[in-house]
Amino acid sequence: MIRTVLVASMLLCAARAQAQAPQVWMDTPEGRVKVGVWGYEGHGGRYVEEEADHRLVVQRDPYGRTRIKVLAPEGAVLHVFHDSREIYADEVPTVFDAAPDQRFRLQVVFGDGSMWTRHVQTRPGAVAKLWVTRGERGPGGPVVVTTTQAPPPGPTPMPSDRFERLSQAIRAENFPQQQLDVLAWRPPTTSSAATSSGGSWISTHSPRTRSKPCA
Amino acid sequence: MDLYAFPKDKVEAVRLTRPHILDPENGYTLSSHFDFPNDKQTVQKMFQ
Repeated sequence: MIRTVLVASMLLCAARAQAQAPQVWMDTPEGRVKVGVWGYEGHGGRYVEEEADHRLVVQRDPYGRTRIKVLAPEGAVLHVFHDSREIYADEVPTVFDAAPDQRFRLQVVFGDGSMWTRHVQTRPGAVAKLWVTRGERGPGGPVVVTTTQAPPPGPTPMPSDRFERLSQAIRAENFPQQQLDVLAWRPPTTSSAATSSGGSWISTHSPRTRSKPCA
Repeated sequence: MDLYAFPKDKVEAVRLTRPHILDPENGYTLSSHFDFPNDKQTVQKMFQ
């Protein structure tokens, strides 16, 4: 009897885990792309959220640290607020050692003055890696006008400081696949599509309801 | 290249960055970062 209950529980958990890791693909003129996906990858795996303007991966930190890594866009400025007070600011890519179980507001300011803002709640021993692709210029937002010398025609080599930041981002990763992910990730090419279900390691201001995953 | 410890990861890094390399004529220099002939050949084929 006990064995039957255990097997049934395991099957139920597996089914829920599978339901919380949706794979949504969309056929577009540019090919088959993965869009608007958030949820766990596999049973007890990492949390992945992909939207049109950002990608967020939350997973256990191998050293048990609670951190927030913002890896893109390079050159943008990250501001971290806690209780309406700015507690951290740095140029992307950057790593922020955060207190666990705290709610932070992340604000990424792009070079053109546009912003991307989101609330993230940290979990103990988990690292949240964030790639932001574009922001929105809010009403009354800052307007930054810069004058720079026009680049020569055609592609130009990566500046040494950007190359160094890219190298640092690769060194900051702990595992080979994560190191390759730094090079591999590209912004989504289509608009996002909402999917249902999914657990979360983080809480956001998103209107979607997220349930706690099966332990 | 040397940020990656394993040869297969180095090959994958070259594959990912190949479209962004501006001087593919110098791609042969990457072979010196590989120890095994098959890895060298794989990388060289990317620049042919």
